[in-house]
Amino acid sequence: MKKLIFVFLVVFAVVSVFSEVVNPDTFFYATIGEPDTLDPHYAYDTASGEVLYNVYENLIAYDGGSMADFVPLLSTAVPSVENGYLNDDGTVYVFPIRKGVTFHNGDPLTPEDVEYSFERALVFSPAAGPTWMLFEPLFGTHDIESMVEEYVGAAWGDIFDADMNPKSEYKQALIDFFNDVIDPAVEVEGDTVVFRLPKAFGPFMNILSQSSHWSGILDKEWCEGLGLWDGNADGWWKHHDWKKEDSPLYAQTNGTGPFKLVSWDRAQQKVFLERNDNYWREPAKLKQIVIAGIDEWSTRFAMLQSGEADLITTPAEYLPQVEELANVTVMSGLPTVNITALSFNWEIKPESKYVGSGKLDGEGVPLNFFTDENVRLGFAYAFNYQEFIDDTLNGLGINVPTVLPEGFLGYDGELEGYHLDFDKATNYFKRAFRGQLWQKGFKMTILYNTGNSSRQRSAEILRDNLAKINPKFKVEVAGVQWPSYLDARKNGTMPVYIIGWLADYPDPHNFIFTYYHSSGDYGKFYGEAFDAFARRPQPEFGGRSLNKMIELASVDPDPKMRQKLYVQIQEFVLDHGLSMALYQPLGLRAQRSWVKGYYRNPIRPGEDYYSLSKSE
Amino acid sequence: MPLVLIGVTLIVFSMMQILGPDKLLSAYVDANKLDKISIEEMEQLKDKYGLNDPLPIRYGKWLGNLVKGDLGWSIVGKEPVTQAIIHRLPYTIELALYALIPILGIGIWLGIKAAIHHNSWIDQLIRIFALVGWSLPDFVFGLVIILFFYVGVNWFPPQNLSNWAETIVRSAEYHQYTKFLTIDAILNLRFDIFWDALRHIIGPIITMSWLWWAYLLRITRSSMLEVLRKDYIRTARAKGLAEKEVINKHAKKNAMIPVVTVAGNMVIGLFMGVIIVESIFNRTGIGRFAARAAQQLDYASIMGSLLFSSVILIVGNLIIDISYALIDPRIRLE
Amino acid sequence: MSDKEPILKVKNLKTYFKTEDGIVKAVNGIDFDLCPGETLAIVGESGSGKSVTSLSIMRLLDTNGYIPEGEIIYKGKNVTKMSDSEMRSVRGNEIAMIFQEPMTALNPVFTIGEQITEAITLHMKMNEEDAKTRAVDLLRKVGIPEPEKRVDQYPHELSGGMRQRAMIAMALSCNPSILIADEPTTALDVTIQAQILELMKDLQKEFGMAIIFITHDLGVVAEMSDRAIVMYGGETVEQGDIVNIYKNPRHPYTWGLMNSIPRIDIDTERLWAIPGVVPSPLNFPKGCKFSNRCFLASDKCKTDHPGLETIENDHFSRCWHIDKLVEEVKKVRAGDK
Repeated sequence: MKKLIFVFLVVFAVVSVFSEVVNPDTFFYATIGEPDTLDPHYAYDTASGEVLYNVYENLIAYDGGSMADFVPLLSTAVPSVENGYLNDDGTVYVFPIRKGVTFHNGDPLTPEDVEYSFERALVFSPAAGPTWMLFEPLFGTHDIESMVEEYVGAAWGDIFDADMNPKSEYKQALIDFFNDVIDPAVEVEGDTVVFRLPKAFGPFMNILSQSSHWSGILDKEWCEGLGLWDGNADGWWKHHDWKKEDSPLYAQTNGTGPFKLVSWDRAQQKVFLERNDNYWREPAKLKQIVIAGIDEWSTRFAMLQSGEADLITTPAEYLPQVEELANVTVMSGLPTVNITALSFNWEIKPESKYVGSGKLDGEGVPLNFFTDENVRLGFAYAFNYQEFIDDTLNGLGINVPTVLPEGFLGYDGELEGYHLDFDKATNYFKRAFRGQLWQKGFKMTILYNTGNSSRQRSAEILRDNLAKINPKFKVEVAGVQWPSYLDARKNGTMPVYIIGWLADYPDPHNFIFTYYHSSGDYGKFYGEAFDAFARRPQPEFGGRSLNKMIELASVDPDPKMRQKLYVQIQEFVLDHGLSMALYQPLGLRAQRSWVKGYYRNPIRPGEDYYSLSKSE
Repeated sequence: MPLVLIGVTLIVFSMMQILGPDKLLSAYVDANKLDKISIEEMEQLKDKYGLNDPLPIRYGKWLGNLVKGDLGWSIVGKEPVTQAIIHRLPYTIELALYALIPILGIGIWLGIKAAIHHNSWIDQLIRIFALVGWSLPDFVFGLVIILFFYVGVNWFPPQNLSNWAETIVRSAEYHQYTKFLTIDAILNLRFDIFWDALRHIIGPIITMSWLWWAYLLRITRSSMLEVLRKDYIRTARAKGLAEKEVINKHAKKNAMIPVVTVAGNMVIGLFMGVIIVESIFNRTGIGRFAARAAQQLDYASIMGSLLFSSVILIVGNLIIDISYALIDPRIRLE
Repeated sequence: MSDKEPILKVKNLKTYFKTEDGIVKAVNGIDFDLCPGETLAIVGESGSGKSVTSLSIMRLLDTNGYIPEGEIIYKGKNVTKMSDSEMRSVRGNEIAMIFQEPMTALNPVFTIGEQITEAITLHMKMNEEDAKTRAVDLLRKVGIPEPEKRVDQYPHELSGGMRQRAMIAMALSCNPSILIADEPTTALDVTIQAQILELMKDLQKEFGMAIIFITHDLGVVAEMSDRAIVMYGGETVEQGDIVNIYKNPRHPYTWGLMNSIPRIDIDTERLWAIPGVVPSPLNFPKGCKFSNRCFLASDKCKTDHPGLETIENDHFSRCWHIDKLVEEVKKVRAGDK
């Protein structure tokens, strides 16, 4: 028996040495998680975005690492006023479509494919998807249902019967809606595709560029063959808002990009890409890409060490570990495009479990606690931003003044953000609620979702500092399971939100509108009191409201003017304590030294495998 | 059997339903996407996925679909639940089959050895061995194995296969007859892939082994000691049989009866999927699938896994009962 | 004793056990001979050392048992000095043993047939088929009806009496010269008991083996044996021809045993019992081991250990007051008439 084991081990050792094959053509990326769906009009996460980035192509792309300069891709020109492809108003964009490009299945790329791709995005527009970013510039709206309701003059639920067939009186209106409203927005004219906007929209090019996967170009014939929309006005509503799993594009792709999807093995959580040898540019250097979801850090780390993985997702806390490895290149301090911030809920719902007594009696907080600016500013100066960054992120973070990342238009390093200042905080708290807060104290709960250690830590730091300022300020930090967290968020019962925002596209509008406009995705959560506040004319803005200022800044064609406006907005935000930007994280990358060709573009989801190669 | 299954599934379904539609929504909203979803969108999702329907309707729908063979869509598996389970099953079964023999064989052998050399140093050594195996958490042990046997020497890597082997397996020339990595490798005459698959299985097996050896050897030892005290052992010796035969023939069979229970449960557990080992070694398997489903409240996957586990449990217990009957004639129904 | 050469000679056998509380002297020097075809009974209460004696002969002691002194000569060879393999060819083959509990003495997971053929194929050069035929024959001989059916049955499918018969069949399967029966009927009810004893006598006539019959039951002794040894505290206290012992008991212990059996022809209110219980093997009184329970005990008994005295030819007793006993016996027996 023992002899057998010994022999076995020896054979093992011998075989192992010879069975490892070094493969310069394959790239293995060990990351966390996996794609959600490969339907470009449904996906809204970076894992899906990465695959889509490498398999589909857009009309234009960012120039290398720049987030503001573009180069033509499937279009042959980047529209500008100078070259005439953009009109003076900034409302008509013309894209001449490149010839000689084929999809992975051999179909040629035509302008009809481009028109189809965008119109399908608008028609499909699933809930919680990314297509709202097309609606905003093209129509000034958020989704198709509200537009239909306005056009047809009836509620969405009334237009259709139980099987989602339109009632006879509405059918023609729906067809007309498509022809009158949707179709003209994107049209084929000769060899070009023309976009018509109701008014200028600064970030439009960002929304179209590679890295914005919802603007990827699909093959119309192939899609029709799969049972997707055929491009006609009649029946478009049948292709609206399908369930994620029902979309045929869920797990198959057909793009023009440098890589094709070979297989998405969901049992093993692996995506396999293969080089497209018929790519319209020089084919990629790498032949095979494997993107594997490996949740266990130690396992990923071991694979990097052994060389089986070329690149691994490295959370900031593991920086010291990867730094120790030989043969591994570590890049830290990489710029990113997300920010985690603490926002205040100006109108906490009465059923909240996190407000204690719900009154200003020292045992709770009143539901309108955060309508008092002094409270907000007191909180803002009660957080130790730098300590948090050093502690939890191993120093890999920037203390930004407001919720606008460094590197974006409008960012001003001179702006004085918040920092830990007990005196200032004390002063503000003493003024709050006409002195009553200081005397009575308060009690409330800050939530984090279990597993998210940075949110947990931020809550704890805040709690500890508040207690130091005044022992009557009692904050409880509670971790709840994801479902409960989501529930509390949705129902407006959390007193404060510690949440992050990852840029959809690298324009300040994406952040400022979201956080500070009362119709923004986050602004909406702050309650009616905030809404009233945001609409009120402000002296700092020369009588304009905050909302108005944000809207103006987004459409101004002059970048210098935009810069000025955004700085003004941020000063206002800081003065009135509208948010606490906790940190903008800096990226950390650990790859084997034989990986070459990497360049950083913070807005790009994942890797650009076309630019990568492996050599000693 | 169907009644038990209905009962179990109904109970679990109800427990989830108690959470309410807002909490159930979390299955459809990724943590990373939370920050980007509006309240209206959340409501739309709830309607779309029928989360607002009351329990009887939801359960009824599920049951109705079940009869048609449709277990619904698996959010964590990203494919229909039946497909998700079928795709992961071969990996779990393969690991279970390879783990079975060394774990059972060595565990029982150690127990018998300890019993025969009762109170000698061999016995003490084996019992200490068991104690360590018990106390050592398997996730720590698994990581240790990866540290020592993978990073440097590449003996026992994580994952199911090495990259180069994976590429070949997915290629058109390679036929996946059984979806069992080792068997297919042999059928395709690729012995290098066979070795590769085997190497990847050994790490997980060793990790699981120690703990199971501890259980098995304890129960075997005490059972064996009891049997050795019995009168019929004395009779066997009185007949003039050699001690070796007395132990191997007369004692062993009787000692196995309680061991079958422990071993049987272990085997059942193996076939249900071993989540920790699957996670650390990043192997595909039903264990991880079920655990992620539970974490994310993916009710379709939870119910599917539940059905699967229940079936395994019932079949497994049936086999255990049959084993009893085979070993011990007193238990036979005739 | 007949005039044949004894087949078994036990000389000054001592068997001790190492325990946590000290050395237990379970058998402390017994002597006897056994002639071919003869039945010798060893009588005593539990703890007297009678079972240990038989286990010593078979060398089936537990690991903490050992024979510090004494010889067991079987057909001229000293059993205590035999090698393991030699001993194994003796066990089951030349000397066979059956035990008290037929319920547990057979292995529940093997059939009767398997267990009998196992012995046969081990010691006799026979193939499986022939061995099985022989097994069926044996089962028939021991009086089990339908032996062809029974041979494939499991022990739990047979009643206690039948199991004991099967055990006997197993023991006799290799034609042993000596059969040691350790309380074979104690666990059976009385009617079955009688049958088994009858069976054993018949078999002895047919096969001619000597039997050592271990029991505490004097009634059984009377039926079965030619000679008897009464043991107490690991020693022989009385030994001799069975008729002599019954007619003329010469040891208070033997006398006590006889009297504690209820008799249908004597009318008594209470049964006579030997007072006290057998002391633990570490706690025997000094002097005569029976002294603390003996109705004839004197001071001498408590200090001096009596030796084995010859009363007549082949009748021995270990007591200081044999004559007093004789008188007592006469008195009581007279009163009976």
